[in-house]
Amino acid sequence: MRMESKKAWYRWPLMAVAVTGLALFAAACSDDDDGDDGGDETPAATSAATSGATQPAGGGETITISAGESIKIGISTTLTTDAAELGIPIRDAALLALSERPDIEGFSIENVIADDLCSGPGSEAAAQQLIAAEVVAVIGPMCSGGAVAALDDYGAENIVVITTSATNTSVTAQGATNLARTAWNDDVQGEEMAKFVYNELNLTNVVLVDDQSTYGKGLMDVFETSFTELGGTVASREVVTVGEQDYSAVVTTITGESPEMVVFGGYIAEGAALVRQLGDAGYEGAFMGADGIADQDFIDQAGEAAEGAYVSRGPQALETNFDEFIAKYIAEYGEDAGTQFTDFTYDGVNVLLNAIEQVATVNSDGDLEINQDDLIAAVKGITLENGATGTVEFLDNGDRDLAVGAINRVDQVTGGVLVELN
Amino acid sequence: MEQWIQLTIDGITLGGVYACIALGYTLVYGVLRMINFAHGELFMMGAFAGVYTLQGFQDHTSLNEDLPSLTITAAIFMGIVVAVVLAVLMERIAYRPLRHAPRLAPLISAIGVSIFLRNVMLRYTNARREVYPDVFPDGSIEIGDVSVSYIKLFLIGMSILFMVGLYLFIQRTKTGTAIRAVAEDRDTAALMGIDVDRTIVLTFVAGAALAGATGVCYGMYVGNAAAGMGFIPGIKAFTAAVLGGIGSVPGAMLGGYFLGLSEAYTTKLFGAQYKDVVAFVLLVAVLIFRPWGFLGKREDRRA
Repeated sequence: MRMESKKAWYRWPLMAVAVTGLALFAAACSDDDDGDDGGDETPAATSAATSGATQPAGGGETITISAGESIKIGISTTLTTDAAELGIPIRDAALLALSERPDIEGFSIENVIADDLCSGPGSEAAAQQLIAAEVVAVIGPMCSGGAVAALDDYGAENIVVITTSATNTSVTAQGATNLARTAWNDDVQGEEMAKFVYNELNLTNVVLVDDQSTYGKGLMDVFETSFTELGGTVASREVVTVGEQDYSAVVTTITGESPEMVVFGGYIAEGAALVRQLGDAGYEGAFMGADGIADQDFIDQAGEAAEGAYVSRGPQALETNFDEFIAKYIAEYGEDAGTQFTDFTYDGVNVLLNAIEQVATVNSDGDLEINQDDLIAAVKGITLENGATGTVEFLDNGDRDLAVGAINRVDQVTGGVLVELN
Repeated sequence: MEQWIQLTIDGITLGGVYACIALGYTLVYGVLRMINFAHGELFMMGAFAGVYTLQGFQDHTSLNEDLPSLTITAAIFMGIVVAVVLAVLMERIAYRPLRHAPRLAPLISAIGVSIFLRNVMLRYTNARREVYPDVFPDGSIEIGDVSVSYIKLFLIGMSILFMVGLYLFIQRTKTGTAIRAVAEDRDTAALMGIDVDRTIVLTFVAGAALAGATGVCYGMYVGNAAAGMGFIPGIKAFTAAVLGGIGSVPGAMLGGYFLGLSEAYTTKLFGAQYKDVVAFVLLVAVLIFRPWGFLGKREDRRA
């Protein structure tokens, strides 16, 4: 008897939850149906068009935004996961840039944020979410692994993608035509890091550690090749597991090699734990990380052990408007996130908005028309003067054009903050 | 040779953490035959309680410098309190209503609680890590080429202390006897006048206290607390509990150290990318020959 009454008791809320869930699902579906009235910008219509059914004269699909509706810009970054320490400032920088230009041709600009979890599957899911939300263009995905995975999804819809933080070589090496990247390619950075360590610091024996991510491993692969070509020795390569924090066995293995320097490819949480535990174990050699740890959070988490660590920030344009940008960022959010990618993101959004301004036209019905191919061409062909990261121009594959003049910047942790070395 | 001694110490450090968390899984499984997948989150919440306590001392007093033993004790105490309160709520809200439901229902409920707690902390911290103030004295003991930092010794010592404490609690106290009786046979225990509901809550409390206290010590060791920090240790500790024989208290301890040492040695032998592969191959190998784990009870009669 007792069992029976208990059963009846828990069935009620479960039923209620199930019914509510069904109702929400139905509501969500009907919202999508409403969206169909908007015209031919729905995913189904778009894919039909790209398969060649209805090619307008200008080539490529034309997105039509009815009067009164908004231009939707997707932002794919991570707001959860450990990488959110970098992902949230990226979102904030994107929103800052969008807030400065609230409308184009009288059409308001709306942001759609999707959490891509800094992972391949997460970025693909985010892509589907943004495509379903009928975005015109996407800022992101945040991480290299995610960008590689999601490019095909965006490519199938001919949506232009500007990634501002996915720096791995493979991102632009895939031959995707709809991609541009405001952050620098790791090929350049990995090689410059190797040169710095070998030529400037005169160190010849290093251990490389990566976090097994596309970005971290890729950067260390480039470093290993370049460093070995220069004549240096990579004593061993070790890995750390994302999400863990106790790397003492890895540290023991590293110190057993007695390297002059430990070079790390990965993000803040793992880098800080590694540096801290190297310090605890009495390691006295040098440490170098890259843009993935270029953040005050890295120093705060690693504590005193971070002192003296080198942080490669990749190429930097000689003349930038960074100071002006960061002043605006601080005015809006109260503090400088100290993150590598906010300025790249700010420029990325401005590149996109400039390109939309170039190609968007209002037709006789008062609707806004944006041709996708024209938009991609406009992004690729853009010259953004006075950007927060200098002048932005792209190569054919979507990479930043280095010809505009850049130096390789390396910071060193001095007195608890990142200080630029000359 | 020194390196292998060093690795053994690394393995014991991590193994102690796994063992302390594994005890919570095994205790709850013992009395409820249920895996509390939110247990790793209690570890995480304990670490947060500890970091906020120490940050509070740092901001408002100079006790962190003057009397670190007091502030560290207070942090561990707060870690225990927060984890225990959460465990009691968890049991009352998410598990007790489902006690007579099919066995999968409380399991799903536990996963829900786990996701909920992690996301609450993600939101609260804005996905940033809370950094532990530097309260623990730096430095290390050097014996030849082997170096063990004080914080590592502290973590090893505390985990052993917590485990011995729990073992004595289970074996020597009246409540501990009640927990064992309920684990043995819930209905008969009830007939003997044991308050089963109360005993189940106390089991959660014991496991949570251990997880919370370990969370604070581990947080001090790695230097920060983060919303995602309970996930992997939770999974590993669960593995340790299964390896040692789920339901067995000494088994969980053995499983924890076994897993910690296996990870440390594998890191040196094959590289850290293979440590989970090796750990799980060992798990499968052990379970093929001893499905009930190292020290678990055979359950074939019960089924």
